[in-house]
Amino acid sequence: MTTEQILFYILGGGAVAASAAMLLPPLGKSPIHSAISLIVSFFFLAGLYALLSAHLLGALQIIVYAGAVMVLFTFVIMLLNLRPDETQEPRITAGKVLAGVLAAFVVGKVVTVVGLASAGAKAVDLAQPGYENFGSTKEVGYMLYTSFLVPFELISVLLLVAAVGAVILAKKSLHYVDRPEPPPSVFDQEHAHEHMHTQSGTDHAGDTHAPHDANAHAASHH
Amino acid sequence: MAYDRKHTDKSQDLRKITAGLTLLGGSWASTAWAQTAQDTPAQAWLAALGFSLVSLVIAGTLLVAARFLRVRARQDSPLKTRPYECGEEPLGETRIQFHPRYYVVALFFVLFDVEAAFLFPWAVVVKRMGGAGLVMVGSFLGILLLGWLYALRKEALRWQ
Amino acid sequence: MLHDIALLSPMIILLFGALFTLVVDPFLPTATPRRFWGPFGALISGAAVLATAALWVSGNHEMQTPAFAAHLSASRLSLFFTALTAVCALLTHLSSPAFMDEQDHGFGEFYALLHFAAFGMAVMVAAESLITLFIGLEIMSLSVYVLAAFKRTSLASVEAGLKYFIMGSVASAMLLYGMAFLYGIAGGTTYVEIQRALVVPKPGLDLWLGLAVVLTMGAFLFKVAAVPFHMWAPDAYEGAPTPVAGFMSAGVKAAAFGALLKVLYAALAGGAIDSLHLSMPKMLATFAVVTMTVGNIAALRQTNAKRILGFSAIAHAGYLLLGCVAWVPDGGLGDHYHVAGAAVPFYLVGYALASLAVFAALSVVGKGGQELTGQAQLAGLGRRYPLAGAVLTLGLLSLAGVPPTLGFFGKLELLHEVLRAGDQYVPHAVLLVLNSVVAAYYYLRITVWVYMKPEGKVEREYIRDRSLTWSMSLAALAILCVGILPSRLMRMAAFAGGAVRPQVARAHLDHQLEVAGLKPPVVKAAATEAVLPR
Repeated sequence: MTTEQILFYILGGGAVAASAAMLLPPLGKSPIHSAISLIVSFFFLAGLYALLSAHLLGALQIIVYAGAVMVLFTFVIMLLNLRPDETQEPRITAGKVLAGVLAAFVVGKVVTVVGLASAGAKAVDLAQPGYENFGSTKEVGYMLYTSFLVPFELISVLLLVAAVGAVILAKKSLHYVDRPEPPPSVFDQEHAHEHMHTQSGTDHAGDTHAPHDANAHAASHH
Repeated sequence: MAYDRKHTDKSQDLRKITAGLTLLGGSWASTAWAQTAQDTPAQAWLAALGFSLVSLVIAGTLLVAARFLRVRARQDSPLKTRPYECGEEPLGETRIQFHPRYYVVALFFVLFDVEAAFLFPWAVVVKRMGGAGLVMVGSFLGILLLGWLYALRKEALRWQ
Repeated sequence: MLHDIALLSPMIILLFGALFTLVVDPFLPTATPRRFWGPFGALISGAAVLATAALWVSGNHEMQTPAFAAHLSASRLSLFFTALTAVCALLTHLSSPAFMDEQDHGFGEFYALLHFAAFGMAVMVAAESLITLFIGLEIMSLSVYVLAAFKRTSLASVEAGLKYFIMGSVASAMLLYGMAFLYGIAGGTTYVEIQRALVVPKPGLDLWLGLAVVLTMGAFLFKVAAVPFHMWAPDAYEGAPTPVAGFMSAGVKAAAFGALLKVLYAALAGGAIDSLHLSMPKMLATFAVVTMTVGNIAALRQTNAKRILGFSAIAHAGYLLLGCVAWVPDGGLGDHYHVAGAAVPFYLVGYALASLAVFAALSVVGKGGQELTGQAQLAGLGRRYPLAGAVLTLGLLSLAGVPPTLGFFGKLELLHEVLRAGDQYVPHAVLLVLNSVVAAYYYLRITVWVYMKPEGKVEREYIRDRSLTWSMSLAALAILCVGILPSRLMRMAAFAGGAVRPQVARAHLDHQLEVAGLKPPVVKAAATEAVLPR
């Protein structure tokens, strides 16, 4: 076995083990522990990318996935904040059994295909001419701004739509600042109360808050 | 119930200092060793492996050190059932629900993180791309800045 | 480069509309009513339709610059579907303002998102590579998820958006997985490269290919709401604001089928596909038949008009899927109207217009922030608001496929093509006819509610608005006019269908390579060379 193969089995095995730990007890019982297992799995995947000479991808995997996306996951977990007694014991239903069988079938299929089809595959020798810069950040950058220019520019629109969608769905009210506050939506009712109490003190001091905030709170006190 | 010697084991300062020094020395040695690695793939991998090993050692040492050095409440003390055994007074409940506004901030973080990820590759080819590259990146950023302008005007990022 | 940008003008117009609406709206005075964005959006979409028409007439449909050529095209198929989705956006822009204002959610963002969705659809159907297809699909999907959940004070709307979002994310993940395998097989992401890799069967290839095809097609089944991935559709259609539901059923379906046609016949064509163990056409045809049957039978028991239309959308996905499978790839493109490949684009036009008409007419009941589309609540609509009743009935007749509406000719053409495709599709064609008969029952049931049910004592109020009237009238007129004179549209559909045939694509590829004086593997490097000096 070459060094690469040994590393591959270490990294791949680690990724699979971390993914399994995400779902199975004891770690899989707590959402935060699952999230941490996911991070571990991301790190192993980043190692696999590096093994494939995709160094930039490996770095981005850690920066974007293990960094940013996991922050988002963690916030969602804390937002939901389930108590241990609120999480249901997993029950086995007919649907779950069916889903499990189907999933096992798909996994089996993938494994067979990969096993059968990769038997005759031959490795690409990255030492040959034309591949010196393969996977390097320079090469990726050059591709991104030449042959993949159109998708690159389209990505900015996609990110813009995501940002706008997030604002629309998460913002308390889409009304503008100088409009009086509308009645709270279904999402806000829980928090409106607590919001009022924590902020009522500063409102009378009247410093940092937008005019509509002050008005709404003043109105609610009368 | 504040921090009180009466309720906790006496910490052993000498052990703490020794552990700290070991850690410092270890991290310095590992960094110096990693820097000696050369550019050939095998050596680069070896350096990476060494680096991960040292990180593991550091993390492990910290955990083990904490196991021995932490301030523990005595078994019979009422502190034992509190969230912080060291005697720190908790404010309010331990289980609080995070406000959704954190979520918006996190989402924007992810979006602009992805945006930044697309800029790294540009940074290494900026010379070769020249003016054309500037226009391409400019339009990419321009469209995203419109989103930022929108969010700013809508006060989406204001801590309501 | 400039020529390329001219070819992209429909997309650029839609994107301009989106960005303009998004940025200008927050700076308008608060008191300004936002409903003018509706007619403005209709103008923008209309401009995109005109630009598409100009490109269609001008005739040169190939991108010249390599950076564009690999990713987007302005072929007749792309132009046909771009125009169709822009028309969907236009009618939705017209039918939304009054409804959204009544729901107290008439914000500028709504119209910006409609533009974004239309832009994403245009990218999807013009895509020539998997990457562009995926980005277009995501732009469209993200916009439509938010549009479906736009009425945030309504739990049903939020539920619709959430369901659609989660199901859609699963579909996107499947699509990406499938695309990854296709990329692995072909070594490239453009349709041309994939097709080139699949020209001849190679040992070991069919295993990978089977996996890639199953995953990719599964994702498309999700997107068009076909069995077994259809469960989200009725809930999403019922909960989403009514004009948005119309946009989802018309625009999203049109874009998804446009992209599916391209993937099926421009990328996944060739000897390697034909030799697959699990025969893809047979599998998809089975799914199509099951889809139409499930959709129609489930619709029979519903009592809410929007929900019925949700199930009807599933059934129509089944009809269209059968049309896609039965596409005759080697049919000639002659003067005769019944040319291979015309059926799906043609049918989609009829379906989209009818859907938009029906949902526009249903949105008149959204007075006072409610959406009362139940059986009892629709009673009396035909007498009290004759235009809405008439448009609703016309749209339903077209969906049912009653002559002389456009829907009738669509079904006829579809049936014709299915039968032409070969004897193995005769049972499918019979089931299609039986399903259409069953479907007529529940479409006519809504008409019965509207015209013949005794009205309650409550005097209902309806939204009466000029732009909504325009939307209903335009859709109804289009259904009638094109229904009476379908030949022109059918010829255009045939052109669109012809553009995707593999021979055409392959010939085009060979031609391009000849012009460049290159062999296939070098084409990519040469492409990068042409834009910038190394």
